[in-house]
Amino acid sequence: MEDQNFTIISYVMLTGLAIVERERTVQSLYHMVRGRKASQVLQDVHHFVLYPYYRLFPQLSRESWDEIVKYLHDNKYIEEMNWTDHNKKSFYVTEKGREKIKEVDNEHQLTYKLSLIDGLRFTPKVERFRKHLHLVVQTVSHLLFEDMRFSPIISHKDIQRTVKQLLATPQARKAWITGLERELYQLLSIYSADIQEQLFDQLTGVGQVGMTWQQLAYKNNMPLVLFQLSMTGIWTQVYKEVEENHDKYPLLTMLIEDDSRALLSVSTSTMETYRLLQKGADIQEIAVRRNIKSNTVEDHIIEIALAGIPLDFSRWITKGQINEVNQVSKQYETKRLRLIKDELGNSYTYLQIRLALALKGGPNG
Amino acid sequence: MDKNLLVLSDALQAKFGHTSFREGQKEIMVPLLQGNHVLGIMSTGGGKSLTYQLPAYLFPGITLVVSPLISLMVDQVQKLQKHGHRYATYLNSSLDRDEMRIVMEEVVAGVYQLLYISPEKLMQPQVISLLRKRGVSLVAIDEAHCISQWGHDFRTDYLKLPDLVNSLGNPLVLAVTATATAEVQREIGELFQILPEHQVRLTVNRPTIAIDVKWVKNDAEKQEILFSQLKELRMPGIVYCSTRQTVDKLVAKCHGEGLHRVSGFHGGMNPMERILIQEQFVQNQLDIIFATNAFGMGIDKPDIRFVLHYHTPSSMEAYTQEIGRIGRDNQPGYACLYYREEDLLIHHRLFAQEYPTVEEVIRFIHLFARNQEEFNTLTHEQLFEEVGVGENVTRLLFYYAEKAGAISSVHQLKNGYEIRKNVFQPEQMIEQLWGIIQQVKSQKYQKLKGIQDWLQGDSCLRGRMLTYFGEEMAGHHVVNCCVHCGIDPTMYEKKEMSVEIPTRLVWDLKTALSQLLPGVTHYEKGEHHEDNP
Repeated sequence: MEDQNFTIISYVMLTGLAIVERERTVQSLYHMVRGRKASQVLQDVHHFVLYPYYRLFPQLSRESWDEIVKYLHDNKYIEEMNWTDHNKKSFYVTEKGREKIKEVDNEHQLTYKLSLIDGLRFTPKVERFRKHLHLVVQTVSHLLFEDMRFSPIISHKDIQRTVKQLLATPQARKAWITGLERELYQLLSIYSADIQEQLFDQLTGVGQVGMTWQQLAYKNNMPLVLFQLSMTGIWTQVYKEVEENHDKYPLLTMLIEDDSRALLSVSTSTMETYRLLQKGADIQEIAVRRNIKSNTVEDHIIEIALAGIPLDFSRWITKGQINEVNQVSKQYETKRLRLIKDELGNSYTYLQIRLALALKGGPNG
Repeated sequence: MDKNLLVLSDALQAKFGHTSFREGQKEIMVPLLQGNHVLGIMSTGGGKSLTYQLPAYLFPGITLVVSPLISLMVDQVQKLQKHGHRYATYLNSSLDRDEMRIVMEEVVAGVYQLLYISPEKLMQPQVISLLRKRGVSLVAIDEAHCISQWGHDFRTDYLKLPDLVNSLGNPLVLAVTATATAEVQREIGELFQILPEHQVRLTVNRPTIAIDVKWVKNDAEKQEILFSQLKELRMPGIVYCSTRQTVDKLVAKCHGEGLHRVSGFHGGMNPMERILIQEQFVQNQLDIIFATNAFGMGIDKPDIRFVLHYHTPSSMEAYTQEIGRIGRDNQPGYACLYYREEDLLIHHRLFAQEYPTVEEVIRFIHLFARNQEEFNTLTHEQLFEEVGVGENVTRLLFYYAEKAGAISSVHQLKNGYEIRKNVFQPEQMIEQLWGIIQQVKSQKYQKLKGIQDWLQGDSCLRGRMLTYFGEEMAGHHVVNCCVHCGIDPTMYEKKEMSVEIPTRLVWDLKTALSQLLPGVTHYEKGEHHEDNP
């Protein structure tokens, strides 16, 4: 099982590498799956549409990553190559690598499983929703059995507080007591019997302690990594189902948190820059005030653009310029800044080109 | 009856619903109520926590419980709440700034009588001043052995506690621990000025637990013995391993061998997984837990029948604590350690990770030695990139640098540390600092040597265990004592085939949900009824 986990995780990485080949280093995917909140990483998520990969393995150690890369090299799935305009090395996926991807995809439906995951825009919200749901189910189950002596399975104080508030009044308790099972039934009956059972077995209440994903993976005779991929996607679907159908799930809807925290998907340093930009400070001023390089401020601006956070970008670039840059990018099928800049005859700054690409690709576009 | 004892007995009945004290409890609490500092050494599960939870109800000011582990605090507060005690809460780094502020406001307003607090929070001046405002009657130091440099679990942040206690307005101190050698006991007593007559020590001897050891040649033999024992032994039980990898490997092997009611537990799992596994074990959904030493503290399960040690623990203290989880219901239980000398190397490796190398010490000192300024800021990044040490080793370095006189104070900042440096000669300082670290490190090796000697000797294991903790075996006669005195293995075997919990035969969502959330079925039945008259 251990070895199987290793090979599967390696193949997942291979599919990710196939997306950034020739344009990035091998290493860039490591930062991606770890979910680094650096501007470059966040920009790449949007540029290369790497949403499933972002923060897919937040705990992956450097040693494991090196082993994976070695494995992919040793098996000749990827090859190193020189990168014309950089000192670093890039790489490409070999024919053998591509065949391997196809083969593994047939066997495990990796592409499908990954397509359901969005580590940047959904997984964090889904995780929070899942924890709220677990605690509310446990609490309501104990209310129904009139036995309130239990240890909450979610130890986050803020979630405990929310659930407590949700169940604070007799009317609210009655609504949850009488309605939760029906909403869960509606929600779970969308799925096939085996998925229903997998989801249900994760719940905790009187007479049942939820199973962990590792335990369910054993029960379903699946390598853990594969089960994780599949479950992350399924819970994302569950979340979306509730979010898109408020009227069908009046109770479960209450477990979805306010989305005003889109700002959370950027780094705290970027937040600081954002605040100053809103006050009208320019790049130089911010760099001086914050004692950071102006390049870093520019990175922050790109990050803000990509995350879809409202800001007046017209002080740096016009609509017409955005279109021109993107036309060149499309024409030459590249997102490499140097090439685009050369093609445009040096009349654009790097900031403008990056901003143009970001505003086109991101939610602000 | 003594007046204080009467007060305690009444409170015990009124607040906890018990009619009698367990061994050692009143010996600890009576002197405390008379206004003395007390040290209590009693084994895990012996009822240590009651010795501060009950007085907390009786004192006018708040009772603080200093605890090293966040999970332990959360656990204890939840357990109290579960049993209707609303007078307790906790303060540690798991709270965000707003939650922290709310808790502190409530503390000052007198909402709580009992506050679990991490040493690191207790070091914050504003916390101290708010606590003084509220008034502190008692400071209970849980796991008090962590303050001893000679203990098996020394924590640098515990060392400031005697000073901090004073700054709280000299409240009473109750130090409690499950394991302390005579040496550690003396050190705790001195640090908190606890008189010898107020030091209560219960025996570590657990006559109902048989102490077995299997000397094995290699890993294959070990696994063979393990799986044959797991098939024979009466459940439930714990198998302790020194590494996460071994835990995962053995769990996988179990599933291969058809043992499915098992699970792993280690620090690499997320908090929710850990809570689930622990609850499953407590509620008998699992027979065997394979765990690192992260498992067991604060677990409330009286019927554990065996503890096996796949690897040798790092000290006699750790071993005693781990097997002490067996049979709190006083029914017979079985402990067995699989001994292989090579396993001790695992600890050598772990120790090496815990302490800085001489090169790291040199780089660390040079990081600020040349600086003329008195105050220096060292960022996490600097420490990581230029010295090459992580957070834990960093803290250790600062602590000993202060002790060696290289710096006079350290403050934690958001992105690193601010230090106030003294004037010193770098080469000399490096030598001094390295000397201290080596000395502390050698303590760890001595502890390891302690358990190694114990395992390699050929006389009664129980007797020598008691000697280690400064007790005498005299008067104890134990049937099924240890591998040297003789154990009847059949005592600990399953009497009948265990009854497998029936697994679901046919999956039906409606049925499953109505078992977990049964109210709605009635509701729906009613509704159904009206729709179809």
